Amino acid sequence: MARDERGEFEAFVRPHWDAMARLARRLGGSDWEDVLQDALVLAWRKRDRYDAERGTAATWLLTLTTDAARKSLRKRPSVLELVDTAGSETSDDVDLARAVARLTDRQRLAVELHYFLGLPVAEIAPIMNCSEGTVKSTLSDARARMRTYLGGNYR
Amino acid sequence: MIDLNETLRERGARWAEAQPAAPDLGTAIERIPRRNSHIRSYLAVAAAVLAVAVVSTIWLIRPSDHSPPGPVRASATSTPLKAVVNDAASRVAAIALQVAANEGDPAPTAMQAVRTTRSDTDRLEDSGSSLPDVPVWLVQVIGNFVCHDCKIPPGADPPSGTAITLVLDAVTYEGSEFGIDKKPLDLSKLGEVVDLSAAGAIPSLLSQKLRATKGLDHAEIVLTTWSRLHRIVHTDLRTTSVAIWFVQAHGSFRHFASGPIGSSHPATATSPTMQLVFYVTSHGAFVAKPQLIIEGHGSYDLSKLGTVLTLRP
Repeated sequence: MARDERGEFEAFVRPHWDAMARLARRLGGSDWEDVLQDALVLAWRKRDRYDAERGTAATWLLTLTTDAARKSLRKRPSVLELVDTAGSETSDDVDLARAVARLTDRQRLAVELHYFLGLPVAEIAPIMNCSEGTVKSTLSDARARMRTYLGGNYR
Repeated sequence: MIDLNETLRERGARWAEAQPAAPDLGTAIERIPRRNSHIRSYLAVAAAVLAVAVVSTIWLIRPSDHSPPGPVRASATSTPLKAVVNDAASRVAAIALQVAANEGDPAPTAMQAVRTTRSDTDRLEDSGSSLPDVPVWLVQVIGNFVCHDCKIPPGADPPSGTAITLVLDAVTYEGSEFGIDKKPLDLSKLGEVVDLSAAGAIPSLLSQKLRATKGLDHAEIVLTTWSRLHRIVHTDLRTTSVAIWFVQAHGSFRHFASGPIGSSHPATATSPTMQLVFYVTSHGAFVAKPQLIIEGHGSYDLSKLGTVLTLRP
């Protein structure tokens, strides 16, 4: 990798690196560092294909991070119980995390991007390769499904 | 009534605030050309092998590499996993198994290692080069291996053989050499050979933890991979060649029975068996906190996973 090429690439990624790391943490589980590195490798290999007219750099890099996580992870276990590794979480936190984990892949992705990365619907749509309306309905469906998991205290 | 939308926003913001800094981007970028240079190194070696057509061993010399060979990749930062134990034989065993699995044989017939120096490994391999006298583990795995990931010249067969040889730094466990050969080396020429499939390779802290487990009669322990575990345990978890320590504990164990989400009073139950999955890091270190606990799902035949070792308190 030539030094100037590397510098350009680093400058391109750096503003979005924290968001990529947060998304990798949300989607990659204990393998998040590998997911993040894989996303970076994808970005490097595909850097010539990035088209600013088709979307922002943030959207493109988060899409690659999502792709890397998708390749890396399967659905949550059906009979195995993941051990809670976050000792400071309350039981409500754990219930919420478990409810998120039981969503469909696309519902979970929408929830992670919107609530945990704080992305607006307009930025989520290109990442999920769908319309803004579909993102909204996916989020609505996700919340409805979570309410059934969480019991009657939530509206 | 609790507003789920607001709750999610609040939890998401709280989670984001609590996140540590991202790994260093510069370091992560540095790792990209290293991967490519591995391929270039391999191409150069493979071309030389074809040209001369007398060398049976293919070596990858990667002095600047900070990652072990195969699927084992170094983290961009220090590992986020806690309770990592530096336990030499278990680390070497885990790395050896991961490399073997990546090269096509997740069930190698033997794994051995000898602690020696870099210059002595060079003498055994008779490469004629002069290398520094630093402590290393020379690891040999016996099985049937084909390097499908290796980049080779058009028309050439992928490197294959029955013996994988690794050289791991004895301090950092970083890999410096990797080779696939048709016949094994005699490691005993370099010192006492350690059987990595034996009980001595069980992480010592794992032994201590199990011995202190309430209700334990005995435990079966096997070093295996996620992909092999997936053959006997029904789970939707990813199937990879990453090594894990799988423990099947026998005795009488109380645990929380899973109830509906939101239930504040989970029931308890007692099981005669309990299974635990312990991760190893990319450098083979044992992670003392179990990543998975399986309770109330009966007993599994661990002989399908590898060499089963028994531990009694």
